[in-house]
Amino acid sequence: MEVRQRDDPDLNLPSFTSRPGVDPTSEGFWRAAGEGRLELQRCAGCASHRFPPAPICHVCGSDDSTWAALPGTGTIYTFTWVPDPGRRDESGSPAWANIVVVDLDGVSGRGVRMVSNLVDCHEPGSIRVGQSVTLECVHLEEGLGLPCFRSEP
Amino acid sequence: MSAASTPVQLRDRACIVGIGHTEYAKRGVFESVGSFELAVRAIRAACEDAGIDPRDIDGFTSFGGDESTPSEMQLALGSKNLRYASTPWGGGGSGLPTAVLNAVMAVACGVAENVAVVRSIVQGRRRLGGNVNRDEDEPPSRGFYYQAPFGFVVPMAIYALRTQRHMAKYGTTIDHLADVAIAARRYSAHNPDAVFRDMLTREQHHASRIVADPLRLFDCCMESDGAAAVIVTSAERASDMRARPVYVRAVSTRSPNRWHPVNYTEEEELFASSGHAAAAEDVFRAAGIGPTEIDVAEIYDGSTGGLIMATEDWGFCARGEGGDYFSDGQSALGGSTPINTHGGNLAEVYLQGITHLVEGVRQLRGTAVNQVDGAEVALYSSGLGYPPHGGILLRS
Repeated sequence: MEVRQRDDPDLNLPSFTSRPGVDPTSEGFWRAAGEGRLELQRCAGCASHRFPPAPICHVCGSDDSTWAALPGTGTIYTFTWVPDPGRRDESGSPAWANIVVVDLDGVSGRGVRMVSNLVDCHEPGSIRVGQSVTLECVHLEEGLGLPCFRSEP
Repeated sequence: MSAASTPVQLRDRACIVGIGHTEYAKRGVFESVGSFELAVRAIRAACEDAGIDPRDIDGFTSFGGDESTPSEMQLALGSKNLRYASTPWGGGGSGLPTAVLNAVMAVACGVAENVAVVRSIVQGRRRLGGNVNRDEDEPPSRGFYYQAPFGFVVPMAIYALRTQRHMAKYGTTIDHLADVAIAARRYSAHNPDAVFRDMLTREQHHASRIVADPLRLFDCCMESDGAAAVIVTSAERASDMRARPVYVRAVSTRSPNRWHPVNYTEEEELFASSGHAAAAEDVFRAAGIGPTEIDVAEIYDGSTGGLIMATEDWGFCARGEGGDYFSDGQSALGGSTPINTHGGNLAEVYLQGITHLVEGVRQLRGTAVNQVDGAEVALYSSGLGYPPHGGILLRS
């Protein structure tokens, strides 16, 4: 899948982010996004997906898991808009950054909701609870990516 | 559930016998004084209230990463012995129930005699509501590992996401949020210690700037400086003290697996909540007292939305009806259970809940400025924040 560039002016990405923490447990999540996929750990013992990444399965206790791709669709569970003083329009007003919680499709087990951004929504009023969203990954550095979403299919 | 999981054996074993605090001020006013001096002054005031010589304080507990260290406080107060000192592991601003539980356990089992629970905050340089990422080139703290790369770095977003869901699920409105903030000012108008005492209108609330939609400036707890302390001792010793003892009837810090402030795997009905329903169940079971028997509740109000959710978690109203509880005046004097009779974090001062505990003691002594007639049972609850969180039930 196509991976968008971080400096693409069409994307609404907050300026106040941090780089991801990459360690043996989390690395697969960020690497998959760098290649345009949304992957979660799936337990080899009981087939439950889990998030956030963890070294053991919280359902059955198994050590064994594989990274498994999800369809990359989901539903907005909740959201917020935060002023982003690091990005201003011509009048000097701060841009609006969004932070969303996406209820992911295709998850086995107790369900997964992840924090992300809806990169094609720029203004308050353009996001609503229950709307469908689709994966839109954004390139970071060294093969890492951010699994973001867009509102258009 | 087994008895061991609800600490019935701690029921009424410890008392709060002293309360004290410094002057309260907007953030930065006491920066040059420093949080340590404020902590010492608050403890001394609480000792005076209790009629205890500060040299007889032999334990300290705190929470929220308080910068005042026990060994330094021992030196400053002249305390002859330091027998016990602890802060919770985790919990942040929700750590007061653990700090009180630690004090109660220490005096109940004879580890220490007189434990000061203290919290002191100055926010001139270090702002607790600011960006959690100190350095954007560094990986985030574990608590924001899968949040900070998406810009989820301001604590108020924790409240905003749950409040937005509460609005979508239950029909809570911006007017409800405004009415929570207005209710706080109605109490603080009579509180000479309060930082914000001016009345507030819905229009003023709606016109204030968005911090994290749907939360506006007046939905957020204030940034302020000050310190407060309470003295905990055993029920046996409390009977000889100057002030009428207030018994710690029950404490619980039970935090459920499927509720986390920023990692959202929780069940549907738990999401738009402060996560305190499990602690409430344990507190009520350990106390043998239910929500209808609580005369006054002092609940950590980091935001208007969070307070609405906590009000529901403790059973003061049905889930989804917390906004109406405030809009209909049920939180006011004469309402079904008055809430935050001092003005809370929204209007009195932000000291992460210890001033709520102080107010609960005042209510049970009958000395509050907004006194609930005949109050005999008071609740403290932490707010929407980091586990372990929970509640403290006090009785006169």
